[in-house]
Amino acid sequence: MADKPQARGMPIPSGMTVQPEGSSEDSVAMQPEIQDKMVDPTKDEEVQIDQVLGNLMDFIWDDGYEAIVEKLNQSPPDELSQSIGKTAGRMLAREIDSAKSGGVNISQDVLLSIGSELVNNIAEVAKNEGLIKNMSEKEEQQLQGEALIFATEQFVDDSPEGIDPSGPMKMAASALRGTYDGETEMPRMGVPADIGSISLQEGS
Amino acid sequence: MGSIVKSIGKAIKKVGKGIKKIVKKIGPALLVAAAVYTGVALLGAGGMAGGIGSLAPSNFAAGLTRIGEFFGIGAATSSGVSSVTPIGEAAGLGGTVEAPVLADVISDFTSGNAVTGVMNPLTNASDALSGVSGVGSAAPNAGSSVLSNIKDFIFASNGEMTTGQALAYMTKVNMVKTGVDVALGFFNTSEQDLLEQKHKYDLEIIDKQAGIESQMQASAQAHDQSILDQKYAYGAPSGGGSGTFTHPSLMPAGSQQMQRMPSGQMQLANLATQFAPQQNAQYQSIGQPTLGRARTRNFENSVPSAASPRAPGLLTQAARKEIV
Repeated sequence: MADKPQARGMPIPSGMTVQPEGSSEDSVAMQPEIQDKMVDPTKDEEVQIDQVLGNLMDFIWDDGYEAIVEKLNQSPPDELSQSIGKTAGRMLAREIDSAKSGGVNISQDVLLSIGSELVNNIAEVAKNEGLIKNMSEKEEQQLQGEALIFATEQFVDDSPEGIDPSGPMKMAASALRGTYDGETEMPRMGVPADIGSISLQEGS
Repeated sequence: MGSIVKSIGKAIKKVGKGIKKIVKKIGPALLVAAAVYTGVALLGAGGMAGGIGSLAPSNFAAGLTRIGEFFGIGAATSSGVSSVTPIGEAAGLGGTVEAPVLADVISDFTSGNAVTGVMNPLTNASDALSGVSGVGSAAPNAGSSVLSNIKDFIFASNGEMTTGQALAYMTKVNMVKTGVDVALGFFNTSEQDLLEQKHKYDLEIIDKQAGIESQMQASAQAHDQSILDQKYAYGAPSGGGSGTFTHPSLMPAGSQQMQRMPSGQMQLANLATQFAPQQNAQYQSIGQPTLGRARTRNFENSVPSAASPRAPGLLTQAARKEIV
């Protein structure tokens, strides 16, 4: 009688460490927050941000996720910033209008910041879905910056009352004259400190 | 009015708790750049803050043109060159503003006119995403050149320049594009040297622009030459098929001018039409913020939301059951 080869058991898979829920890894920030010296919102503005942005973020990461992905997928890759921005601008205009109909007026001073956060979240969705890939951090910033401008444009187009033009126009003038303190004080990516203090001479 | 760019990091930590993100947030420099873009576009739109297209890229280019005109005033006057239209006049203020600083002009511009809202009511707020059409149709009238202004401006703002420098740089590029002489004293020597040393990108853009213009001029000249060759061909003058020859000096003034107008002048004429000052600027205001509203988000949001209409929260449902 021939000897049967000895049966071998299945190889034991290598182990995998499972982190317990609520471990310290969850609370670690993915990157250091940018330290800026911009003005903090008032208490009332914080409440407004909480209400508007809370609704929008709930929508982005819950009910509206698939719809947003579908919208982003419709745009050509080189126009992703435009698609992100216009989606964000349209959403923000609707939300502000809806809040206003509910008796809550949102301060214009926080609109741009809310818009930037919205753009960042939609960009995050795009990254999750693989629409943003092989981009350096600086390129991601550039994409989001462009998207924020498109968002502003779309917001003004969609908003029933638009925006008060005096603030942005004064800010543009201030930036051009080099007298906007907040900008010269803020840390920039790879910028020597002395570059920020250059002022332009006007018309002479 | 406070600053229109605020740090909302503290509020975000409450709202966005638990969302793990890998895309870095927009830096403050780009936040300021977006605000400045808005301001320049509004300046180009003549201060109209409402209505479709008021922040269109073409208005940003128009705003840059007005800034360029403003910077041209001093040098043009001092060198005896015919003066450039003052920005106040270009902005529809009426009258001439004597070499004011831009901020003063803007301040006058924004406060000295009637405030009128431009309404553009939404018709359907049920779907927060409805109406977000394809990007290609989003800006049908904006050419790729003006859209590239956004990319160039953000690129500059995201680099080593401050937003003010980026804006000055964009104004300079815009002046090159529109054929205005940049040597009107816009930059003093030290700043120009610094920018040229620090930003090769600047030169690349100008070179690219010059290359395109020279190509366009060459093709236009070749086109003109071919027409002239046909017209003055030996022995057989072509009069458009009519069989008669008309010497250019005998042609009607209008037709001769149109045929002989160089392509560069045609470009400038088109741009002048595009950036013509908008009269009757209108203003608007939004209501004052309602203060003192309590934070309700911990339980349920009493504010109706277009994005996520929800059923009453658990606390409310429980309360209702007890009452019933």
